[in-house]
Amino acid sequence: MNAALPFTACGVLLFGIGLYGALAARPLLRRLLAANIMGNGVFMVLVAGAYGPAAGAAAPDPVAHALVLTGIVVAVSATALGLHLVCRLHELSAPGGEPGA
Amino acid sequence: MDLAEAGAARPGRAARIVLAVACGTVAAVVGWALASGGAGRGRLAADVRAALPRSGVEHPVTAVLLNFRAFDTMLELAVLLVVAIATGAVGGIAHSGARPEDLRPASPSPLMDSLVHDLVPFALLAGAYLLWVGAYAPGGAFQAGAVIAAAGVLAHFSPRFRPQVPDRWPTRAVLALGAGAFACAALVALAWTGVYLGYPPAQAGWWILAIEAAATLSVAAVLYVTFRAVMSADPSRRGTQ
Repeated sequence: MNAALPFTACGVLLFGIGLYGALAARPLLRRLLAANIMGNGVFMVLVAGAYGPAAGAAAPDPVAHALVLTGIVVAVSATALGLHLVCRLHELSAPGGEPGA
Repeated sequence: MDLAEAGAARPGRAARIVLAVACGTVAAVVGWALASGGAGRGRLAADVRAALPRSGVEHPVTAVLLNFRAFDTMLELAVLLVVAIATGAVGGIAHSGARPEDLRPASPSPLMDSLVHDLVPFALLAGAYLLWVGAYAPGGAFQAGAVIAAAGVLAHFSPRFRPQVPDRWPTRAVLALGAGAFACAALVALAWTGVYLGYPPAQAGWWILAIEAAATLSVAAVLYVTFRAVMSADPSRRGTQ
């Protein structure tokens, strides 16, 4: 179809892998990482879609780029909040500070 | 086994195979939808191109973020503020004060000190450049904020140059600056032109630059403060206290 197709396919694949990881993994940190992989798949699909045939080859769709830019920042901060909650949960459940997780 | 691991036991082999098939199906459906859809894509791109001269900036992504879809961006800054408040409420800012054990060298290396000493000013300069260049080329508040936050993270690992984050009102003011400046600009624009977030086209470039400058500081501060909160929540260190 066009050059964006492999990127769209990879994005969909990443989304599937991340979805499986988020549902199947037990450690919370791994789930958080899997959700991030899922999100990155979505970003990849959006960025690849910005170069779609209708958008014209010369100028990619700026709306999709802006959405991804917004999404990345929100994803980073949501990940930070998730990490913080995981750390806090770990602290509360392991008063001796035992390694693991 | 602690609480972080205490969910349901790891699903069995059969359950995982079913789950993998289900996830594969979802991905296949999404892929099929993307491959077969696509009509109507690019209509917004044409709208953006048509309205770009009135936006105050020359780069379409910045125009979309700070003008055409400014409300989204304002809400995004509000999300950042909520994250900063939440990490603070869970123990971020309060715990990340200058405790004695925080000030011990993370990695007592003169190399780190000199790296931070030489590199951080350039990173700050690069952040300011990214903020300015966003009007014409890829760049803008979020990229600039990320670079400046990265400079803060780098400096965090050098005991001599570790940024101080006092839990007082200036810190909170910087965290709220981006969302606050955006909301104020929206209200002033409402009073001026009668349209919420509708900047007067002649001065739109300056409005955008001012909002972006405030947003850059806020983004950098929020990212660094949340990083610091996660770092100081190190369970091995907290457990000895």
